[in-house]
Amino acid sequence: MTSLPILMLLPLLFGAVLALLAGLWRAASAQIIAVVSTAIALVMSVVGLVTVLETGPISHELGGWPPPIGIEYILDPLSAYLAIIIALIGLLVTIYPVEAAFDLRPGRGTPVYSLVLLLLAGLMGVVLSGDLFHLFVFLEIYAISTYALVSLGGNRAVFASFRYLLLGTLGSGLYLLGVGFVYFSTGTLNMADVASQLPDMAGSPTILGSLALIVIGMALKMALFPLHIWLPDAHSYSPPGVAALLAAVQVKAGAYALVRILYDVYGPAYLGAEGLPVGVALTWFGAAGIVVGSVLAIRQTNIKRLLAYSTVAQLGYIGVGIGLGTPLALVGALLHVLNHAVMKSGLFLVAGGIIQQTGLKSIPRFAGLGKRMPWTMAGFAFVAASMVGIPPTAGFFSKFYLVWASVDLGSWVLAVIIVGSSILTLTYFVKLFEQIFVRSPEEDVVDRATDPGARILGTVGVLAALVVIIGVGNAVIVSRVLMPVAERLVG
Amino acid sequence: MIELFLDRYVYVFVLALLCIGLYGMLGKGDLVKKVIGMVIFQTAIYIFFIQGSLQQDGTAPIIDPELGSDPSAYVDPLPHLLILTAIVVGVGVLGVALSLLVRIYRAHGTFDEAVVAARLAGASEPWRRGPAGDAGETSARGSADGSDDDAPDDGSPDDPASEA
Repeated sequence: MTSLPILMLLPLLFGAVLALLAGLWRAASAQIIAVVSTAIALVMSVVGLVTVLETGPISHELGGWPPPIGIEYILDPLSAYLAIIIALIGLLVTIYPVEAAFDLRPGRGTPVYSLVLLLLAGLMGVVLSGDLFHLFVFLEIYAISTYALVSLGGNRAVFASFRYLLLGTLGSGLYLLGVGFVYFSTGTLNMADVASQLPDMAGSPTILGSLALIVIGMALKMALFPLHIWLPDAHSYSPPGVAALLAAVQVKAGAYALVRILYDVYGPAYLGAEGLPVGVALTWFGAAGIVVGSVLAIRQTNIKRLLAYSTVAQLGYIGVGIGLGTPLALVGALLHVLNHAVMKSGLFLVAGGIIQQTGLKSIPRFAGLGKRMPWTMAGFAFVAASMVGIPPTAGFFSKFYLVWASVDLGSWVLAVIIVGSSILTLTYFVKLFEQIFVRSPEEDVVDRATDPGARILGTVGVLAALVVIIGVGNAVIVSRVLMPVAERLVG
Repeated sequence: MIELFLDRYVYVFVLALLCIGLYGMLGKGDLVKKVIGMVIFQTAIYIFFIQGSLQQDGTAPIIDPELGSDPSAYVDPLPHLLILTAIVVGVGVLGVALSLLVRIYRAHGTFDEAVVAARLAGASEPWRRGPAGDAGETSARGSADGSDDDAPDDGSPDDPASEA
């Protein structure tokens, strides 16, 4: 079973090549291949999680070279958990119809699915890699596919994608520089090997410098405030399916790498290293991101832009959780990775459905949509309730753990920010709800609108159901997977 | 003091290149110059790795019977390998950046960031606005067929598109 990690990655990589070739032959077959390969990856990830929960972490030596010389793939509960999220969201987005997801006519989606699979493969590789440089390669694989996918959304998206490319390359460049510092100090790139050497070097300026570079690089990748400036444009101008992938899983890869490197490689002792208060910085920049993102989201009238700013705020929660560094806070952050993936992809896919049926993106023109697209909007209501954090939906619990953790640490300001931002979130969703459910249709396009087809309704429905299922079943996820993970990382 | 500098002068140059690259990426108003800055930034990182792999009086990392397996007799080969990979990755990123630049130039006829950003903000462009005065939202489906024309995104004037 030691080849399990590679079996989660290979379907996506092979699928990317196959989807391109098959798409040249029959355009429609690309999507089928994409669905099949992500489904295989999902099954493998679930098998992986079940296996590692029973037997402990699995290590795969790539090409038969044993670590620390060879490249190592590591599957532990944390990476399996992230892998399931990536494969699940990937599967739903590939099922979503190509014209609504990527603004393309049917039959013109050939290279798109290749890119989507490459993006997912890159993310999967980041999650599974046990080698600092190998992680960089996967960071760039997913980043390059992202730039191409974002640019599908028209002229503004091309410009947004270009800006994102510059900042994304800067982020991975800083990360690579940090990895260089680590390599020249320790002589190894294997995460476990580096981790075993770092405690002896506490206080070394080179190591602190590498930590600063890596944290800043990853904060750029995960769009933590104030390094979020590329995100609103890239997420709001890209097609809905791409935006769903980006917001749900792509920025989370940066968050994962931050958790993995900060806690597993450097160890929690470095969180409050002398002269480099990483934990405090992450916490308070995260808190600032929560406030700024929510306030800016309230001002938006474009649905996708509103969701993009809301992503900035939600990533702030994850930053706070990583920065606080107690088991409870980490559980909150990791649970929020899953919750936000489900909620935000759900919201973007609903937006895709609205755009497909009506062509509307401007919220003031949504008046009365609830009466014409009842099922889509019912799904939307569930997911939005979770965004606000109404129990028993998923969004309530991750915020609950974060509030609990900050109260535990006596940080009442943080607790107030987290609870208060729920009210800000409520504000912008109430604006949407009022348009959609209370007012009656004014525009012709709204009056003529109907619920979209089964594939859009189905994916939105699955995500809406997941919001409730995760919410009700969060105790199982937390006690079986996340709490042991967090205790191992911090302990 | 001067010896300290002579020992580390490559790192000083690397730092200078990093700063030049960063300035080019963030400070220049021309999109092509931004890309050039990005390449300079990446190259500085490559040089940093290559310099770090150096061993004083080291030779090529092929085991020589005379020198035996003493690691200090050889240059560290791993950074070279890493940087070869990083160069390939960098070429990929550069290719995507240039192809995006081609699309930007076709659409706007300029590489000036301020001009492109102002045009995309769309306030003074009557041809981007639909009959309803709302950036032709209703025609968004029709024209968003992948051709690289002005596929209108939502350009409601109150949308602070350029604040980022």
